Amino acid sequence: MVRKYILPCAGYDRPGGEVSRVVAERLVNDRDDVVIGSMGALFKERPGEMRNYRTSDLFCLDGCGTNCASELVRARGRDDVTSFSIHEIADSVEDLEGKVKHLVDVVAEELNRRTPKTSFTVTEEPSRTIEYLEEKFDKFMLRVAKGLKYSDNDFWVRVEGEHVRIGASDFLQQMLSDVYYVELVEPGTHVDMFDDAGGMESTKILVEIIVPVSGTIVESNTSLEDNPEFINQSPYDEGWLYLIKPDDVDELDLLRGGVDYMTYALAKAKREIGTKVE
Amino acid sequence: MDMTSSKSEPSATFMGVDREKIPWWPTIDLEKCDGCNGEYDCLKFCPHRVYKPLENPSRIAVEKRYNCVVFCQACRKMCPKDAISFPSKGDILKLIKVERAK
Ligand code: SF4
Ligand code: SF4
Repeated sequence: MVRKYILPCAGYDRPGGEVSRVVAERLVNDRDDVVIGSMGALFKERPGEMRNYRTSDLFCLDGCGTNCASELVRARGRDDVTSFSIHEIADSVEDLEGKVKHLVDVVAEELNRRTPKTSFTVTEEPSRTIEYLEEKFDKFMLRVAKGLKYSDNDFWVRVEGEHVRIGASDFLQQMLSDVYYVELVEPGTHVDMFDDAGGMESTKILVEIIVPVSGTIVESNTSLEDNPEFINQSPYDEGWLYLIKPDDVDELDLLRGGVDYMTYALAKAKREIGTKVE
Repeated sequence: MDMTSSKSEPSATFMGVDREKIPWWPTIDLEKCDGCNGEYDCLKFCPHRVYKPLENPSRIAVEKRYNCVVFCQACRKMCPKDAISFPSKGDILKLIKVERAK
């Protein structure tokens, strides 16, 4: 019998991640052809995990628009994965139990078909819902995404399971104006907090990417090579820069929360504008 | 003696620490700097008005040192004479942590 390797996403602390875990557990209890994968073990390429991984059909339960499970599977060399977006499939269902039931049905049906397809749901747009704090300043509208940490060099950090994703804040993006070139360092590079790793060049200036956290770069956003404008258009989502395995998440205590950063960025904007019109 | 001015833009902080308590700015090796023959690459490059050009002989000076972005070292890399240096990042970070703990 073909085994099925189900990988719930790593966003344990978020609703989608929670649902994905419960769905995976239920499927394992209901069936005998299923194993639950572990993001952590897969990331570390533990031998037992890799054996299951290589010999099974793959099904990823993606809890949010990051699609970290599907992404990791691709990074580990397989693209014949069937991905389920929790968000797209179950958002219309209100309660947790209802969501779980519906998802279990959808996934089970697909498991029964056995042959995985590349993608089950349409992934048109990144489906991460981001909530913003917004403040008007002069002719600027500053947007600070909620729930992230910010460095005083204007980079954000988002915790995603055992990884963190980083990018440029909306404020930095506006200061840069149109970015036409992004230079990123290779995955595998280790960086210390506030090291520079690559840079962004705009029609106005070149800034270094000052990494707000120590760790090993797991992935760099290669889509920026062809689409540097993502930095401007979608600084908190498509314009992300690096996915990093942090050395020590406690370091993030040194950074600001959203509200605090908004105050800081506004003060800075004031100074920058003062500088310009001197 | 430090010849750089200590004037800065209004009340800036970095990581909650008064910017003027953080000794981060470029140091110029005047033996190496030739002012890019009057072109002053670093001056043209940095948008933060840190540098001031000197003439006869052409050299660069750090004028508004607290305007320099803490942990930025971009100008160091583009100096053709390798004349620009910065403090150790680790030391500065340590100092910031000590200040924050106060
Ligand atoms: S770029 Fe280097 S050589 Fe040129 S003015 Fe600046 S410090 Fe001097
Ligand atoms: S380090 Fe950055 S901010 Fe400081 S002088 Fe050089 S380019 Fe300007």
